[in-house]
Amino acid sequence: MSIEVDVGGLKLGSPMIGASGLWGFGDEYADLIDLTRFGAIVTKTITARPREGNAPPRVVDLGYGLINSIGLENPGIDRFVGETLAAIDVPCDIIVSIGGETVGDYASVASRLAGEGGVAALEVNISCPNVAKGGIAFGRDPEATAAVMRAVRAETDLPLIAKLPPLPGCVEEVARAAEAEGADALAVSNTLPAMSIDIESGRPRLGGRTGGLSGPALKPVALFLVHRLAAVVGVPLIGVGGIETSADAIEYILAGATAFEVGSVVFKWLNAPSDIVMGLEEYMARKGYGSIEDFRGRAQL
Amino acid sequence: MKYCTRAAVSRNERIAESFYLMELDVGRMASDSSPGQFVHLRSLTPGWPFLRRPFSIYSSDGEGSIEIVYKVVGKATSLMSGVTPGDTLDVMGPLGTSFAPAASTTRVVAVGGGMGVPPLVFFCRKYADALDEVHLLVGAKTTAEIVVPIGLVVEGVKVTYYTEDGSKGARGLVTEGLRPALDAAGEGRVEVMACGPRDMLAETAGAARERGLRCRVSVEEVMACGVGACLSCAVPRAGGGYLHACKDGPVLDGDAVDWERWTGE
Repeated sequence: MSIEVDVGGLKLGSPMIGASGLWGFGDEYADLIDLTRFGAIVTKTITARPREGNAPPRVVDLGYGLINSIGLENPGIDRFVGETLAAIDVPCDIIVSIGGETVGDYASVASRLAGEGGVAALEVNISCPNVAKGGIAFGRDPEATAAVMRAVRAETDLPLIAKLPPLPGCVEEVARAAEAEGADALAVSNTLPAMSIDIESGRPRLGGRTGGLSGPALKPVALFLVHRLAAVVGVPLIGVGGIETSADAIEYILAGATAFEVGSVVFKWLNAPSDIVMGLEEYMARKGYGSIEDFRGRAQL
Repeated sequence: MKYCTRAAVSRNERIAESFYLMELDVGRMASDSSPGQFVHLRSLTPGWPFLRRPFSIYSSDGEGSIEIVYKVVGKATSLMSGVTPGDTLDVMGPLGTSFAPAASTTRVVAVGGGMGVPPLVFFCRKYADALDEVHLLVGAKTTAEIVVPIGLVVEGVKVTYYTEDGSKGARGLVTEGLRPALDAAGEGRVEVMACGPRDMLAETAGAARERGLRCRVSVEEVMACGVGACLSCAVPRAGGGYLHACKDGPVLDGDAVDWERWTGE
């Protein structure tokens, strides 16, 4: 039995990927989480210029999920390449998430990373709900998505993953546009635009006013989109959203995903990722599956 | 070294109205724990919110046991108050920076407000013997909210109380005693430590700056990962941008924080 997967040319020893935003810029969890069970981790989104991020509070705990409004705080591509990237020491692949306010921003970040060793793939974040310019504005518009992907594709031979927003209605066209312009895989999905209001003060609970919903509340939405997109595009899909157990991950694979990302659950339980892979292997052994492909998309039939 | 462990609760007692003291068997984490650092924990009880909750370490026996003091303010702390000895919690720690006097410091004025007092008591226990003088200013709303029996646990530390209702010590805010205490600290290298509400920290940092004194403050902001990975717990940095309470702090230089932005937000 093997859990190795090929995600659009990105060959991973495990279908589990650490979702962007949870892993900082590399090794913050070094003492605490065994990354050997991961195929890869995705860095926080890197932009052409440094970004301060949004005013605090940046996170709201809803119990059934989490709303964050970090605002893509990052040191910018120059410092990331000069300081951070070389220092990352993890026993799995590194996927760098890239973002921007303009098409040119995405292209310049991709260009800077094209020649760098240690980067296995780029995840193109066209779906961040927490920035005033760019982000989800690209990912809800097929033409803007096409422009970003085309520009990034022209700068790099690395596998490209387009990270889409969970917006039924436009995501099918956006997915087709990303695929047509060179995306090797699609990550489905980013957080869902969301907010929370303090009824005593009458004000939004987040400093950035609105944010993105993650956690179990997002799972059925993203699962539905993976199911829909599996019938629409030919490139591999990565299921992202609310995975807390191996059963959640298996659902995404049955819906058509080749790989999956784990995110917010790490805030709850540091051993959740290891348990997810162990449970996946137990399931495959019990069902007699020799590979992820043996049961991927079975729910489509 | 950071650890994450299933820690058995050996004690969980109400010590004042809605205040509790919890003792946890955390193994090796205890010997690495310093004053000002925190643990990030969650209960295995159904109904716990999404995120862990951070608590300053109140004491460590240096071997395998730590104590925290908490106030029941919401769902998580309410669930904690129902934990009984023998139950386990999932505990990450020790996390963040600590209160440690500079090598040249001989006198410390420590300012604690409400739930900010316990980590300063830990500081006094660890460092008072090595300093010429420690003056701990304790502020609380009422006598009932002075949660730590300071005189019993820290010998040789001068303690002055301030309560908003005047039920113990002077009537008023603890910051009213700050400047007189700094004036009285006299000769030697004086350093200021503070933990408590944001306005109290801002005023303390301001008073220290006026006198050119090193000042260390323990900050709090809504936190998710606890290790500097998610960048949720942003604290405005002097000169622009943000620090992060979990990794740059919780104990920061008073001058490192943009107090105007932080208290205005």
